[in-house]
Amino acid sequence: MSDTTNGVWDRVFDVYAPLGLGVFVLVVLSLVFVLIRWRARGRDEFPGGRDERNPVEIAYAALLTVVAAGLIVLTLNANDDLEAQFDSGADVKVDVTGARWNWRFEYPDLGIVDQGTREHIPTLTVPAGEPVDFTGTSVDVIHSFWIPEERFKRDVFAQRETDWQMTFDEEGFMSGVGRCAEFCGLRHSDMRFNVHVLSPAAFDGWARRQGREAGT
Amino acid sequence: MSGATAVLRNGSASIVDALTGTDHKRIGLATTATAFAFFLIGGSLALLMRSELASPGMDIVSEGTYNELFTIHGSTMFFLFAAPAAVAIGVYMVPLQLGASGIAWPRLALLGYWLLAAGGVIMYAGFLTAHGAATFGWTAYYPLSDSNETPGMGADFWIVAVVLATTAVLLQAVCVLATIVRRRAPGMSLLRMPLFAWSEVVTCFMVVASFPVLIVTMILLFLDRQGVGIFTGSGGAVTYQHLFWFYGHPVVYVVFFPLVGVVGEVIATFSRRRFFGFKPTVLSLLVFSAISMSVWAHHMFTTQAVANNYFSTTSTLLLVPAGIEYFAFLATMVGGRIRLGAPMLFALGFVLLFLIGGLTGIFIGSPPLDYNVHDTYFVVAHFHYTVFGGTVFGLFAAIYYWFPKLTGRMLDERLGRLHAVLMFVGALVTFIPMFFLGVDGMSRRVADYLPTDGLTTLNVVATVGAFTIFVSVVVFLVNVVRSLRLGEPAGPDPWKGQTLEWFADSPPPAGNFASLPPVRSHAPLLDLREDGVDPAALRRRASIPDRATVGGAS
Repeated sequence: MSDTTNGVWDRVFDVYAPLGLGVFVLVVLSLVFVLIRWRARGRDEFPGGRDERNPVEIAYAALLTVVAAGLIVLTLNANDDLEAQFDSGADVKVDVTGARWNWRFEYPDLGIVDQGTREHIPTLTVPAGEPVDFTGTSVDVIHSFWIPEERFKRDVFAQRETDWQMTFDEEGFMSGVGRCAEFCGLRHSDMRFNVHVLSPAAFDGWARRQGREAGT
Repeated sequence: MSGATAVLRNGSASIVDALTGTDHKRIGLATTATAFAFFLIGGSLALLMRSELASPGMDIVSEGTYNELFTIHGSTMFFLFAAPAAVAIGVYMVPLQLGASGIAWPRLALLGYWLLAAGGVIMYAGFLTAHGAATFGWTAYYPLSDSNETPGMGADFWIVAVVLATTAVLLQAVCVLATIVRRRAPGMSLLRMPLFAWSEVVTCFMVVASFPVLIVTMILLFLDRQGVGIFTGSGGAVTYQHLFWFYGHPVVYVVFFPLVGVVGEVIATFSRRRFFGFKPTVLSLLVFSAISMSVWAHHMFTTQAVANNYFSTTSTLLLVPAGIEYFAFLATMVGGRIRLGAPMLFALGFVLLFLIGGLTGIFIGSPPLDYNVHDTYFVVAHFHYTVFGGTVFGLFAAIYYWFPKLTGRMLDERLGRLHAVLMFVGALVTFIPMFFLGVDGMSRRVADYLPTDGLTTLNVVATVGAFTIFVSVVVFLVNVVRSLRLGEPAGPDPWKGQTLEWFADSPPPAGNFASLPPVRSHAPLLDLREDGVDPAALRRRASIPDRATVGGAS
């Protein structure tokens, strides 16, 4: 499960966040120390002193390069794992279409469609714990399919398909958590969708019921 | 414009002289003051947005108006304020730092000023058109910016304004570069140029390399809106993004580098120390600018159309040159005699606030993190720490540092410190909550959110912060108006500066210098002091105006 969108976010964030915070605290403490220690007192003077220590700079640049290399390796590995997982294929497939200003979810294998309208917020229904493959497109401008809880978004374009995968772990109905992240005009902020995560058994039942309704 | 004329009226010149003359100081000041006026206008738009976002529901403006506000806010801040100011302070100060009597090709620089003024007027004239001003964000992503999705003259006005304002900066950057090549004082080899002049070198390189791409892209977008069909193919949307960000990423360093130079000089001067690691810092600026020409597609990680791993690698590598610069800032203070004057407070504010922007920049350079926070308030917070914490704090450091040189009068120190502290607190209170808003699900450029989203409290905090910044700017404006009339006379060198501009009178006369000291390093006045020579005494001794032999720079 570690190669899900959530898992990969945690893997990278859990290194970047403490490191970033640590560097910030280190700089603040160094600055406070320097300001107290070398604050001007009394006579105005020019203390002189060394203004170049190239061996120190070179060693420091080497250290920074090692840190950068470490971050790059971590990030690229995580990103490669995520993309490999995306390519692995899933049983449940959803075609996502963005349109100003609503979403449409179609399950091509199940014959189910949920099309949002001005009065109806569409719901993305998915099984818990199983990967779901998404294929995205747009009928007009660029939109971006974002579920903050899954730590992932992907842009959808007209005349072009993008694809990705998500795995939803916790069952439940989340009202309006799905969002459009790419600015798309007048009612960009209203472009929401619900996410309904069902147990695999309940999802199969839902799919049968909805499929029958759609078939009649 | 009112800011420009108010400052200029104080000098002996008439307004007509001030706006048509070829003196680089008048051109630089007029451009900077005009850019600053646009900063005030763009900031007012931000206050309107923050007021709207303080509570759920559309309370103050409509969604359409909100979209005009954020589009023109961002466009103003980049095209009309930050980029023009970044180069215009070079138009004013680079010739003085080089010991030159003027700028190369001053009429080209003057044309730049007028193009900027025209561009600003045209962009704001968009509000008067039938469909209002442009509503597609400062990035004008295609196809949102095509003639179907965004009809109306306001969008066309916006494109014309961007072309004019961007050309303005390009022209002035060429003049600054030519000045650096041709007009350095005798003895001033390239590595004896001050840090600020060096920061303008890398800035102007990037302007020359990237700004023409935006100008052409805008012309293509204009043609597309006339039905020519430039970006209409299936790859058009992504192609537009490549072209825009090939300009759009370099520009964020264009508005940053000159302030690295300013802050470095302020820190050195207020620590009474020679800037530490001058050569490594110059090298790091060059490396920084070179790498940052190849990071643009980190704005496009979520498009699934670019080599994410490549652009992530180049973006992350930027921490190396940035780290060298931070080391230099701190090491310069070590062993110094640090004075916390207002310019120094703004410089330290720059160091701390830009650090937040830089560190979070490493986060969003990582695709797995960017997939979540891209196009959210996390990114809004990040880049405000770079352009507000960096550019704006750096620019205020420059204003407090050089105001005595420009006007001959000191700014009030207590009001200056009050401004610095209020603005620093405001920058934290406004933008820190936005990191959390972004991770909590607030998309960028939304006019509204739901009461049930749980975003209200942090939005209220951010709005309080924005009005704290507003108060701090009022304090600054009061200080300027008061000090222009009542400020203490500054004399040529109130801070005991290290570079040649402090050898000229305040304000410098036409032709700038009556004489020049010898230039043996990047800090010629500090050389004199360390040799026990008072620069003021040298000025008096050499005050016989014999430019041909003593000045040599004209």
